[in-house]
Amino acid sequence: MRISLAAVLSTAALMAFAPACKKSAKETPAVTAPVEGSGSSAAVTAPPPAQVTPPEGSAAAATLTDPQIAAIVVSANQVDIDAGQLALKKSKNEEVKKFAQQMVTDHTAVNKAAVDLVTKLKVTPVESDASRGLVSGGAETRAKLEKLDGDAFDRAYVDNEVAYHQAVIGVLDSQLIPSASNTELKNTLVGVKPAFDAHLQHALHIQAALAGSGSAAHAHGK
Amino acid sequence: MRGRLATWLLVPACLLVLAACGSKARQPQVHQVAIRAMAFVPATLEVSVGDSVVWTNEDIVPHTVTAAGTFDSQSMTTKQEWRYTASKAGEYAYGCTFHPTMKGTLTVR
Repeated sequence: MRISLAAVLSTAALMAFAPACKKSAKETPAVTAPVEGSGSSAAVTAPPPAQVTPPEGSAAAATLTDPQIAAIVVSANQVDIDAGQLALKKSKNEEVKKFAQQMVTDHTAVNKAAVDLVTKLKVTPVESDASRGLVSGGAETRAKLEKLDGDAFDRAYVDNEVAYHQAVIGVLDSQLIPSASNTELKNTLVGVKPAFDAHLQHALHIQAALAGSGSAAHAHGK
Repeated sequence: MRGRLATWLLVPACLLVLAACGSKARQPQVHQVAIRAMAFVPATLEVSVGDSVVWTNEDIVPHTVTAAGTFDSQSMTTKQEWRYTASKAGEYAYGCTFHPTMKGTLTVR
C-alpha cells in the first residue's frame, strides 16, 4: 500500500501536537515558581511571570474566551519584545544580542499574525487579570534589568527568558489552546508553540554557556 | 528471404526507437520542502544536479535556508517561497540562521 508523503507528514504533525491537545483545561497553570538564575551573581531575582488566573464566573477552572485569549497573546508577545529591545540596548554579548533580536523579530511576527486574525474574525481583545498581570510583571522585570549591566544583565535577562518561555508554553498548553473556541485561533496558537519551544531551547543553551563561562568574555564581532 | 528482409527492417527500426528514447534526457524535477513547526520537512532530501528545491515558510515567524558558502535565502517571511537549483553534486548541511535548532541536509547527486 502506497502511503503518501502528505499522510505521513500529517500523522507526524498530529503526533507532535497530541500531548498538548490531551492536556486537561483543569490543570493548574504552570506559572508559579519564582525564578532563580543559575550561576547568576545578580542580586535581582526576576519576578515570576504573572499567574494566568481565569476571570471570575468562568465555568471551568481554566476557560478563557477568545477575546481574552487574544489579549493575553498580544500582551505576552509584547512583554518579550520589550525585554528583547532592552537587551539589544544593554547587552555587549553577541550571542545574547542575537537571541534578543530573534525574540523581537519572532514575537513581533506572532503579534502581527494574532492581530491580523482577530481583525479578520472581528474579535476585540478583552483585557483580563491575566493579560494585565503579564504587562505589569514585564514592566517590573524590565525595571530591575535596567539597573544591571554587563554579565549580570546578560545572566538575569537570559534567566528570565528561560522562565518566561517555560511559563508561556505552560499556559499555552494548559489554558489558551484548550480554551480557544475559534478553530483558526486554536490553530494559530498550536502553530506558534514550536517557535516558543525553540526560543526556550535557545535560551537554555545561552544560559548554560553563560554559566559555564564564569566571568564570560564578551564575544565581540564573532 | 522474407525473414532476412524483416530483420533488416527491424534492426534499424529498433535503433531508431532507442535513439529517440536516449534523446529524451531526464527532465529536471522540482522538490518541495516545507518549513513548518520550526523544522524543515523533509529534513533530508536527495536530488539530482539540475533539479530545483522550493522551500515554503509555513510558519508565522521568519526563517532562512542557509548553507554557508553555497546558498542563502535571506529572511523569508510567512508564506514566502525560495527556490534553489542544484548545480553541483555534494552533501550540503543547511539551517536557519535565526533558529539554531533547525537543521536540514540537501544531497545532490
